[in-house]
Amino acid sequence: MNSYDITLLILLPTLLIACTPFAGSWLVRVLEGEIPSGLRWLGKIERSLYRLIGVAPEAEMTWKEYAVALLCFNAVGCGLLAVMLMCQSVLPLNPQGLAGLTPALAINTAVSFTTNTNWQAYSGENTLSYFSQMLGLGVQNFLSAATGIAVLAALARGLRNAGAEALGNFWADLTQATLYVLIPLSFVLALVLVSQGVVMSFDGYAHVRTLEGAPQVIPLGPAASQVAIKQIGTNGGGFFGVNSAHPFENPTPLSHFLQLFAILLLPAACVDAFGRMTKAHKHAWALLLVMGCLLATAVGLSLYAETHPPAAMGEIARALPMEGKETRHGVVASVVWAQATTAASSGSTNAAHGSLSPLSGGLATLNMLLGEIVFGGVGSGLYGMVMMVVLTVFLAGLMVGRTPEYLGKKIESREVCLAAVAVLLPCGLVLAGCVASFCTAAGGAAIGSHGPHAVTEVLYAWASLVNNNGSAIGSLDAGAPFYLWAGSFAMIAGRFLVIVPVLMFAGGMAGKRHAAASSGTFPTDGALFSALLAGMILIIAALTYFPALTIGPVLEHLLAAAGRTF
Amino acid sequence: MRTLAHSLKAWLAFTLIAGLAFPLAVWLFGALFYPQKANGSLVLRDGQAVGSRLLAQKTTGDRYVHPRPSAGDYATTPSAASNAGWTDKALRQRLASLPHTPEDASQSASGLDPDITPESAAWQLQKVAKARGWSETSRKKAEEWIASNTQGGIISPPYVNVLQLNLAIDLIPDGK
Repeated sequence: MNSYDITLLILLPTLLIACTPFAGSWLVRVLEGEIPSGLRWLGKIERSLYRLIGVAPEAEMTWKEYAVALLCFNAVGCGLLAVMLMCQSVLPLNPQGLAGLTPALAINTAVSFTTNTNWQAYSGENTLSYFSQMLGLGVQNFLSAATGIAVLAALARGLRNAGAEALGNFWADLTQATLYVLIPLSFVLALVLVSQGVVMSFDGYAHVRTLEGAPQVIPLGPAASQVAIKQIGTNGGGFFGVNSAHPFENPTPLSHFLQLFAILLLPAACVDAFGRMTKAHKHAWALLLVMGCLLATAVGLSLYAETHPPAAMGEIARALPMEGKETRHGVVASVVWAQATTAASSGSTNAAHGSLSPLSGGLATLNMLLGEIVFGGVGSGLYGMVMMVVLTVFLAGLMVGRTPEYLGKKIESREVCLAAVAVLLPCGLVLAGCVASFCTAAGGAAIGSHGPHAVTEVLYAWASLVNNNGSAIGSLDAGAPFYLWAGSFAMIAGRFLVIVPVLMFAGGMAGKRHAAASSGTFPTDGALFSALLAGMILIIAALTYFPALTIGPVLEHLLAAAGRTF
Repeated sequence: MRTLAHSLKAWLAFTLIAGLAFPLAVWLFGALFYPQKANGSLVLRDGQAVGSRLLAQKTTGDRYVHPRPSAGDYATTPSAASNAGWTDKALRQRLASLPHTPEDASQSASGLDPDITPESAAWQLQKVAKARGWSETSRKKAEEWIASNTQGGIISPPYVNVLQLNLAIDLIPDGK
């Protein structure tokens, strides 16, 4: 461990802890309808947006109205994006003259960006026009993150409000989150990125002759604006194929640090915001503590695994950790990023995840398998975590034989059922996807590696698709028709079959009255609760995935230590 | 139907704001203040672009320092990583056959890593000095360039830009 590694390991969490309350209170003020000072001039745009859309922002919605508006808006965005991608050859801003996408790839990509997954079965630099990137994918980057924030806001209101089945207004939440949170943060980050060398150009690709006289194509494009929102909104879809490893997306240590920080900032702020909105700030920080501990453990174990290759590897053990990593980032920062991006449901990568050590890759997979609730995506991480909390207080209630309560409201069988669906459905989908991949010829043909690494590759893919992460082990053929179609289904199911139960839950809770806390109430802000919650998260993942993880990353580690290759 | 109309209009409005106005504002900032960086950090020599400071270029002879190996052979549209895992036979053979510094043997994540470590640069300079018939003084001069142009080291490992190093090497005359 070098001094610069230690600086990074101290600086990142310190800055994150310091900024989370600010970002959280900013988020709350915005969601309560207040315009932050300095952005007042945007208020005019906000009001004209409501007039244009034709909605009244103060009109309260029931969970059903909220869900219908959310689903309809996302379906429209997804459909129009798919059409745009198929028609890009006749649209402007296409200096390379790239052809329209096939329907399968266009639908997969549209679904991927609408669900905040950003799984990419293509490389942007030889597939997408500037128009598609900017007015297509870039827009969904904002809207999918805003959708996540909207669900979080609805859930918080459901828990806070008593007696009225009102969750707020979807259009207002969407607009406020986009205008006052996502765009300003992305704008500031984008400017810094441009100053570091991230490209932002509408020119066609440059053609140069290298020092030895060979021709080289320099790909360009409006990347900086898109890279900024892909990190702020935990989208993770790269402008270029190799994502944030590409020097044009991530050219310097500063750009690297700020992007890493941006991946975790809003997911952490969402937890803080939830605490403020429900007047349960201590509870929110107990959640943050659990998330922080799980991520720190993953980072620690992963760093050890990456920097201590098995002795059986001999001399090449020195070179192995740098395979699939960039010199300017180095091993430690790449491992931290790999864990952060899989924990926070970003999926942007600065290293080739297929070349991580078996255990580091396994931990990255586990982060996603936990359900993307260790920080998780913007909004989605918190609402996923709340479902897990509901199961935890239910479990605690069983132990003491009392009706469980959460934030002063009774948790009854309907709530437990909905939480169980939201938690277990993704688990089932991941396992079903793996089975289909191994048992069908179409699934098997897409696998690009051998031995236990192939198991990791497939498990990683389904963990990423279902939990809307979007990163992949690159040896997998993501463009195979099997993955394009089955993957699209998994991304939609993993996103909206969690969002709908969460909104149903919020609607049900909104109708309940607050009950006074009694001696039988299980406190949800202490050490006991935190330990029980962490245990619950790990036990559900272990019971579901232990066999798969054993024949994947664990077996690969043992065989690598024994000197086996495939 | 009303919700559908709302959705369509909202999509259009946000496409104009987030998809057009926002990138244009960022583009304008780049065009005004960082035109060279926003357009690919192209490096000019005698008025001709010889590459991008940020993208590795394929280098074959001994007259130049080489960037790290690239899984895609330095192709840019698209570039590629090996994605090989630790139990991959081909990867293990490749690494075993190249007894250099770790960064010289391993392929980068982008396939276009523009930098190498100062150790790798110093190691490669021996071969460059021989190919160019340099005296000890000339080699020292190149080493000094590396020492004073090493970047990073605060929150990242130290690194040297290969293209800039090679341009500096070209400024030292052959056979001297």
